[in-house]
Amino acid sequence: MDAVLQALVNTLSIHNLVVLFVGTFVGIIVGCVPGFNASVGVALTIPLTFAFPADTGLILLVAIYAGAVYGGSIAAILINTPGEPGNIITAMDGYNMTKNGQGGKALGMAAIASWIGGSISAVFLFLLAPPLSKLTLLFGSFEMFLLAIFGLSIIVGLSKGSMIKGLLAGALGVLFATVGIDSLTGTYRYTMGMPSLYEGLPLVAVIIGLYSLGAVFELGEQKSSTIQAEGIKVSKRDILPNLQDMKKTIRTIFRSGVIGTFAGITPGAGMSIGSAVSWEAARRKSKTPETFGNGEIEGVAASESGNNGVVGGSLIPLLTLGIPGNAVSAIFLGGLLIHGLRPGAALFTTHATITYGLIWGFLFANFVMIVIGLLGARFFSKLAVVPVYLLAPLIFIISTAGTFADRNLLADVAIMLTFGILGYFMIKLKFPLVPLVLGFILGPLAESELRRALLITQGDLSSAAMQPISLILIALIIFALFGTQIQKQIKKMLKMLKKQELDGAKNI
Amino acid sequence: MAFGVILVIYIVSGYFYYESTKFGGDAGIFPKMVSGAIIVINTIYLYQTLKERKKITEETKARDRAESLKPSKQFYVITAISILYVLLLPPIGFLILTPLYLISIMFFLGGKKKSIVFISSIVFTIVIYFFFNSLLNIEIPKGVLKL
Repeated sequence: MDAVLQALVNTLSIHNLVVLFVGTFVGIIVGCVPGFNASVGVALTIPLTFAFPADTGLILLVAIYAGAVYGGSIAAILINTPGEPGNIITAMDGYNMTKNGQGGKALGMAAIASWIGGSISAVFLFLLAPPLSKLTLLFGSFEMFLLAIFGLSIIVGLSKGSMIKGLLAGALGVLFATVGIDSLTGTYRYTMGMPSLYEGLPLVAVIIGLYSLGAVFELGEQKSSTIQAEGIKVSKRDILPNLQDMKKTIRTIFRSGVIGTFAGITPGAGMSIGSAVSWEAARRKSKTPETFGNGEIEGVAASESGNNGVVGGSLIPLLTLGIPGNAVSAIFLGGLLIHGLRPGAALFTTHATITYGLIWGFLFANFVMIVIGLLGARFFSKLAVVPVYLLAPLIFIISTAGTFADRNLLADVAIMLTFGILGYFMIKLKFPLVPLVLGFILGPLAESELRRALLITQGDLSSAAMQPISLILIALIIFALFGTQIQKQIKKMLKMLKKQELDGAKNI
Repeated sequence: MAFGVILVIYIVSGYFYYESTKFGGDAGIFPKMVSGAIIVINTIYLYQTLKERKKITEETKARDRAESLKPSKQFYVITAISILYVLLLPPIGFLILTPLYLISIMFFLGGKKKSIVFISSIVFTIVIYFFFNSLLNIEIPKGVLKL
C-alpha cells in the first residue's frame, strides 16, 4: 500500500503533471489526425522517454495511448473519419448526430464516456493486476518460455487473413531478435562485423520503421491530398450533454466500461471489439433499438466508454504476464523493456512505485482528457483535415530524429528505413505487422528462458513439459493458433450430424 | 510476387540457419530452432500458394490486377529522397537539409500553396531541432554549420 501512496505523491509532482498534460494533449492530436494512430504515436514517443526517469517516461507513454483513443472520436463525430479503428462505431451515431445539429452534444458525450470508461478500466487495473502478477512466481523457466510463445501465438492466431503469414511474420521477428552479441556466451551472432549491430537490432528503430514509416508510405499513396470535410458547425450552447442525457446513458456508460475492460484483458480483442460489443449490448437493452446507428447519443456513449475501457484492460495482461492484447500494447511492452522493466511480479514489488505511478498516470490522463477534450474539441476537429502532404514528411522527420535520439547512431536510421520498406511490402502482401514486432520483443525473453530451462534440465525438457502449468500453456498455445479452425471443424461436424439426423428422419 | 517473397524468406532463414551451426556453446540452439521452423512453415506456405495457383480463375486474376501489388510511384520517390536525406545528413547537417527534404516531398505529394509549404517546412525544422537538441540534449548532425 505504501508503494501505491508513494506513487500517487510522485505522480502529482509538478514535473509529472506537466508531462501528463502534454502527453494527453499530444495523444488527442495523434488520435484525431487520420493516418496518425495510437501505434505510431506510442512508437514515436518511446525514444523521447529516455530523456526522463522511468516513471515519468511511462506516464508520458500511457497518456499518449489514452489520449489517442479518445482523440479518434473527435474526427469520427465531426467528419465521419474515425482516427482510430476503435472509433468506427462511434462515427455511426456520432456523425449522424452532427448532421442533426447535435455535434457538440456528441463530442461532450464522447469525452464524458471516454473518461468514465477509461477510469473504470483503471480501477480494474488497480484491483486485478497485483494479484495476477503473483501468478508468474509459480512459473519456472520453461513455463516462462511457453508464456512468451503463448503471447505470440495469440496475436498470430488472430491475425487477419492467413495464419501462415502471421506465423512467418512472428517467427521472423523472433529470428531478427537473435542478432547481436549473445549475452550468455559472448558469441557474435549475425553482426556481419558491424559495430552498430553488436547490441542487436535496436528496438526503437525496428518499431518506428515498421509503424511510423509504414504510415508515411501509406499517406503518400492516398489519392486525395486531403480528407474532405463537410461544413461543420458546432454551436457553443450544446457542448455539454444535459442532465437528461446523462440519466439516459449513465448505465450504458458503466456497463460499456466494464465490457471494454474485459475486451482489453482478452488478448487479441482490442478497441474495435470493445466498442462494438458495448454498442451491441446497449442496443439490445434499449427500448428504441432502431435509433442506434442513426444518431443515438447512447450509441456514442457505449462505443466511447467501451473503447477507452480497452486501454486499461489491455494493460492488465501486459503488466502481469507480458501478453499484449493489441498492436499498441505490443509497442508499449517495447517501451517497458527498454526501461529495464520486465512484466511480472517484480513490477509490483521491486518496481512498484513506477508501476503504480503508471496506473495513477493513466487514471489522471483520463481526467485531463475530459478537460482538454471539452475545451478544445473545436480546435482538434480542425486537425482532422491536416493535408497529407504536410503530415507524411513530418512523420518521417520525427521518425528519423526519434530513432537517432535513441543511440546517436546514423546506422540506426538506416535500420529504421530498412524496416520501413520491409513493413511497406508486408502490408502490400497482406502480412500482419504485429506478430513481427511482438516476436522481436518477446524473442529475447523466450530465448533466455528456454536456454535456462535446458541448462537446468540438462537438455531434457520432457519432464518440464509434463508439469501441469506447462501442459495448460501448451494447450492454450494450440488453441490460440488453431482455435478458429477447430471451431470451424466442430461446426461442420455438427452440421453434418444434423443433416444426417434429418435425412434419417426423412427415411423413416 | 508471392514466390519472390517465399524465396527471400528461404534465403534469410537459410543464412541464419547456416551461420548458427558455426556458433560456439549453446548460442546457436535457439536461432537454429527458429530458422529451422521458418524453413518448414515457408514450405507449407509454398505448398498453399501452389495449390491456390491451380485454382485461380480468370475472375481472381482480374481482381489481382485491380488490386495491383506493385509499389506506387510515390513509394519509390519517397524512399529514394529519404535515403538521400539520411546519406547527406552528416555532411550537410540537419538544419539545412531538413527544410529541403520537407519542401521537396510536400511539393511532390501535391502541396500547392508555396507559402504554406515553405513556412511549415521551416517551422517544423526549427521546432524539431529545438525539441531534440535543447530539450533532449541530442547531438543532431550539424554538417556545414559546424564551423
